[in-house]
Amino acid sequence: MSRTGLEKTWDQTQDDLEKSRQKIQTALKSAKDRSKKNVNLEDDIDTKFNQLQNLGIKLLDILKESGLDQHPDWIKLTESMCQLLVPLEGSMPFMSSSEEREIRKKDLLHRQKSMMELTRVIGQKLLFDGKHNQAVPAAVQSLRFSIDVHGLNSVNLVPSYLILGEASIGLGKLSQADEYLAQAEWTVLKAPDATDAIKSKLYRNIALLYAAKGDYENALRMLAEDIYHASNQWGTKDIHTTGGYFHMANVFFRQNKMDVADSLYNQVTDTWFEFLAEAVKKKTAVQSTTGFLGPTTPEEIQDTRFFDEAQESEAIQMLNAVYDICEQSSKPNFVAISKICHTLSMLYFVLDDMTRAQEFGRRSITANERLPANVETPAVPIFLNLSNSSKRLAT
Amino acid sequence: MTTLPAIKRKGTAGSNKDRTSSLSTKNMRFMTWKDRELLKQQNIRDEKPTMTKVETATYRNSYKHNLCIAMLKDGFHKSFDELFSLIEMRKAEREESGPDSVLWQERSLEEQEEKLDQIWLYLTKAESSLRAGKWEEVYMCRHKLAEYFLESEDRWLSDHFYKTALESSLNIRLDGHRREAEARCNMGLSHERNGDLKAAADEMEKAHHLSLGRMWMAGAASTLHKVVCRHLSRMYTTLAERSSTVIDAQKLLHRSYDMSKEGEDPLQEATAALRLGRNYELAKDSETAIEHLGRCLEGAQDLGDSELIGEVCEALAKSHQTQGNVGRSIECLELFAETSRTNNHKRKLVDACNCLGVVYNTLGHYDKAVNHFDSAYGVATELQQDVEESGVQLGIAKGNQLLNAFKQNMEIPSRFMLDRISIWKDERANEFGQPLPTKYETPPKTPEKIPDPTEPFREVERMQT
Repeated sequence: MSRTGLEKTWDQTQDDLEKSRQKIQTALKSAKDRSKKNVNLEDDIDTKFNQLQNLGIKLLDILKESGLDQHPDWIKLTESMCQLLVPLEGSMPFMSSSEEREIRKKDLLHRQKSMMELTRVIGQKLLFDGKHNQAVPAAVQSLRFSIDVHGLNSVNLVPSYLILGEASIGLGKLSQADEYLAQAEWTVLKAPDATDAIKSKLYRNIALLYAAKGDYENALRMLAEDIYHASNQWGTKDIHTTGGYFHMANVFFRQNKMDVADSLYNQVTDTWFEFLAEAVKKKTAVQSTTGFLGPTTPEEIQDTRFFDEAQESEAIQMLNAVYDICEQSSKPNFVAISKICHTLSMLYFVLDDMTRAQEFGRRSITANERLPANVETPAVPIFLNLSNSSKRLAT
Repeated sequence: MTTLPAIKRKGTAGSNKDRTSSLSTKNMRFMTWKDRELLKQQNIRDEKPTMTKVETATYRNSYKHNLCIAMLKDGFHKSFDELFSLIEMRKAEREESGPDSVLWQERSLEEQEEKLDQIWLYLTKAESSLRAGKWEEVYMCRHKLAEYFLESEDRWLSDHFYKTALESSLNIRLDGHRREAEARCNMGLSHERNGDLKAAADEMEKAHHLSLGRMWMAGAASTLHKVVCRHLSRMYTTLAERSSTVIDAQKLLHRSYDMSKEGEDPLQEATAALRLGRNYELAKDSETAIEHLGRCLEGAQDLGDSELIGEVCEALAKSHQTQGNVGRSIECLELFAETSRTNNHKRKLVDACNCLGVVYNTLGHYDKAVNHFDSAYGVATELQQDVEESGVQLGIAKGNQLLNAFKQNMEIPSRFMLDRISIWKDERANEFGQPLPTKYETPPKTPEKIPDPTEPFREVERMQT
C-alpha cells in the first residue's frame, strides 16, 4: 500500500463523513419541522410515530451536546438513526384504507425494532466510553421501544434494564440500580425462554451492585450464578466466562483471600492466553497469505476481528488489571507475570497496537529471565518478529 | 383452584395471627365457607417462616446448579470446572453414541446426588490443599474419589480420577516417588479394566521400576513392589494368551514368570512355570519345557495343590512322550490319574485314564490299556460326558486285546476255528480268548452254506461302481 493511496482513502472517508454529517443535519431539521407541524394527528399509528420521532430527536440532541457526534463510529450510528425518522411508508393526508393501515403498522413496528436495537447499541457504547449520564436516556428509550414491540413482560427488555442498572451504578445511584436490576431479575425469572447468556449478564450486573455496596457474600453468590450460566452457554473455558471469574477474583482480593484470588486471576489469564494464541495463529496465517497473494478485500480483513467491541474493552481492562495486581504483589510470581505480559502482548498484537505489543513482549522476556533456570516457562512470544516486520511494512 | 393469600412479613405475622384467631373464635359462625377456608390457609401460611432470596433460589434450581453455586461461591473454580466438564463430556459422548447404545440408558451424574456430594466434598478439599501446595492431600482426595467410583461401578469417573491422581502425584516431592508408583499401579489396573493391556503393562512396568528395592507396604501383608509384580505377571499372561505367535507368547510368558518370581507368590510362580512349559512344548522344545514343568511340579508339591499337580503331570507326560521317554511319561500319567482320583476330579480322571490307555495301547500292553479305558468309560458314563469317545477307545482296546487270540485262531487252518469265530460273531461269548480245547465230543456239523459277512458291503460296492 502506498502512502498516497492511504491519504486518498483518508480524504475519501473524510468526505463521506462530511456528507453524512450534512445529511444528518438536514434530516434532523426536517424531522423537527415535521414534529412541530403534526399537532393534530390522524390516528394512533401517527401518534406513535411522532413519539418515536421526538425521542430520536431528543437523543440526537443529547449526543450532540456531549460532543460525541464527530467520531466516525458515532456518525455511522446517527446516520442510520436519521433514516428511521423519515416519514412512514404510505402515509396519506386523508382517509386511508385498511391495507394502507397495515403497511404503515408494519413499517412502524419495523422502525420501533430498529430503534430499540440502535438505542441499545448507543447506550452500550456510551457506557464503554464512561459516559453514564448520556447512557441513561439512551437506555430509557430502548426500554420504551422494546416495551412497544415486545410488551411488558418480555426477556427482550432485560438488556435495556441492564444498561440502566450499570449506568446507575456508574453514577453512584445504587438504590436506583437496585430497582432496575430487580426488575430485570423478575422479568428473567418469569420468562421461561430466558437464555443462559442473558442470565449470566444479569447476575454479573447484580453482583457488581452487591460488590459496590460492599455485600461480598451476595456478590460472590451472584457471580457464581453468572459463571454457572455462562458455562452452560459457552463452556467453562471461554472468554465469555472470564468476566465472572475476574470479578470474583476482585471480590476475593478485597476480602484479602489472596490464594483464591490468585488462582482465579490465573484462570482468567490462562483462558485468554489460549484464546489469543489461537487468534494470533489465525492472524499471522492471514498475514502471510496476504503477503503472497497481494492485497485482500476489505471483507477478509473484517473476518480477522476475533471479538466484539464489548469484549475488546473488557479484555483490555481485565488483563491490565491482572497485570497490575501481579506486578504489585509483595511476592512477585514471575511465571504469572511472564504469562500475563505474554497474553497482553498478544492482545495488543491482535488489536494492531504494535508498540504496546512489543513492550509487553519485552516485559514478558525480562520476567522470564528472572526465573530460575529449571522452571518451565511459557514460550516467549514468537510472533514479535513477525509484528516487527509487519510494522516495517506499514511505515 | 383457590389461591393462597400473600406471604406476610415476619414482623407483622405474630400480631396478625392473634387478631385473626380472636376474630375466628368470635365470628366463625357468621363466616361463609369460602372465608373460613381462606382463614385456615392464612393460619397455615403464618406458621411457615418467610423465605429468603437464597432459599427460594435453592428451591428453584436443580441440585447440580446449587452445588456448582456453592462451589464457586467459596472460590473453588477448578472443582467447578472439573465437575462441569465431566458432566458435559459425558453428555457429548452420550449424544455421539446415539440412542441405541448402552450409554444412552445410563443415569446421568446430575441426577445422582450422593455421587455429586462425594465429588464436591473431595474436590473442594483437594483444591484447598492445592492452594496450600499440599500435593499429598490432593493425591489422597483424588485417590479416594477414584476408589469410591470404582466401587459404585462408574468406571469412567474412576478412570478420570485415577488419571488426575497420577498427575498430582508427579508433583509430590520427598516421598521417593511412592505415590507415583501407587498411582501408576492404579492407572495400570484401570487400563486393564478397559481392556487396554499394552498400556496397562506399560504403566505397571513404570510402577515396578519405581518400587524396585523399596519396602513400601501396600495393605497389611505385602509390599507394593510384590503387588505390582503379581499384577504384571497376570497381565503378561493374558497378553501371552492373546499374542498370535508362539515366539511372542514365549517372551511374554518369560516376563510373566520372572515377575511372579519377584512377586513371591508360589502359586502364581508355579502356574507361570506351567504356562511357560506348555508354551515350550508348543514350540517343540520339550527339553526346556520339562525343565520348567519340573519347577512347577516342585512348587505345586510344596503347595500341596493337587489340581495343579495333575495339570503339570499331564503336561509333563506329553513332553516326555515327545521326547520318547515313555517310562517317565507313564509315571507322570499315573501320578496324574492318582491325584485326580483322590481329588475326585472326574473329568481329569477320564482324561488321565484315556491318556494312559492310549499309551499302553501304542505300547502293546492291551490288558492295561483295557483296564484304564474301562475305568475311563465308567467314570464318563457316570458324568454323562464324552461317553462316546471313551466307549470307542474301550472298544478299540478290547479289539486289540483280542488280536492275539484271533491270530492264534486264524493260524490253525481248520474248519473248526472258522466255526468258532463265526459262533463268536453270532453270540459274542467271552470264551473266544480261552485256550483251545484239545478234544471235541461231537464233531460239528458242516453247514450247507457259509454266509459271507462281507456280502452286503460288496453289493453296495457293486452298486456304486
